[in-house]
Amino acid sequence: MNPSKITILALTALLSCVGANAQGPLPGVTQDWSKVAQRIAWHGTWNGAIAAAKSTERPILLIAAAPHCGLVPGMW
Amino acid sequence: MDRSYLSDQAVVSASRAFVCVRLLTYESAEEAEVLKRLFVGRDGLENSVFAILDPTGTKTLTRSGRSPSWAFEDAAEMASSMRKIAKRYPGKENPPTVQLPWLADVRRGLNAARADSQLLMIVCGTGKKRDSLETELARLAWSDAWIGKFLYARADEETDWNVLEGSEAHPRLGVVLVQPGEFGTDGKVLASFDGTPTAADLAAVKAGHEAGPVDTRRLKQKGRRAGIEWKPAIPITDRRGSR
Repeated sequence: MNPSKITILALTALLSCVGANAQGPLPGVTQDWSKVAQRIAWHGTWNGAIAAAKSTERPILLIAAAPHCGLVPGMW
Repeated sequence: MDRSYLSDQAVVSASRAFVCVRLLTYESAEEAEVLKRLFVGRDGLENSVFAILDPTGTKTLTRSGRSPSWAFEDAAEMASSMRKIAKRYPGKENPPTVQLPWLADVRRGLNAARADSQLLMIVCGTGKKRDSLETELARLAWSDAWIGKFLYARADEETDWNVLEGSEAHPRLGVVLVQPGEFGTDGKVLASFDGTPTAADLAAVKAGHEAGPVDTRRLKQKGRRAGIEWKPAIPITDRRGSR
């Protein structure tokens, strides 16, 4: 395998789950939530959110993420 | 998720004027259709999606993409944009109390709570008594003191209590607070309450729980070695995000 192909594969692996698809700040970097004072209150379903938005007439902030990395659960 | 934006305190503050929703990608065919209307990549529905929408959920108000970084240079710009949008869509002056921000079920709630390093509140009960309980809990959940402090799921006939240590005596009508296990596939009951817990009850449980760091690289390696594998509800179409 030529060096450029190896580099591309390495970068692709590095960016999976945690980089290019915004699953975390950087590969392997931990998020210490104890240092985060306030958090966004997320609805967990579209039906719940759209009902809330229509009843309050507030705009919607939407994020979607798979609750696993490489199919290992417990992380975004 | 891009935590550098979504944990930013200016963004969190601006989010209070929004209805915020975080969908679990590949966990609902119906929600996948919603997401595909907002953003698709070369392969179809991607692992992560970001959008800001009007209150009808039909009009995008910023550039959509895989994460907030597709629309904003940094968290400060995102917070500023959100404040401007909130002025255009100020919402009702006296909005009704909306329902609890449910996850789809306890299984997915555990997973998401672990990923967030938060406690999961499981609401037990049936019928009108549970409706009343949920109304009381919603007032608490959306109060300034408790907003964003828990994730929420309803117990139902599909709930596997066997994976929750200490759940043998879960209430028929009430609340169970659960600390998710390492991979969000099981958990430990920290407290159970018949009926609605008080703010003091919740504070006591929260005081004993520290939201620690999640090391995604280590967790992924450990999970793979242990053969722990999540089974998504629908096929994963993002080749980059599912290895």
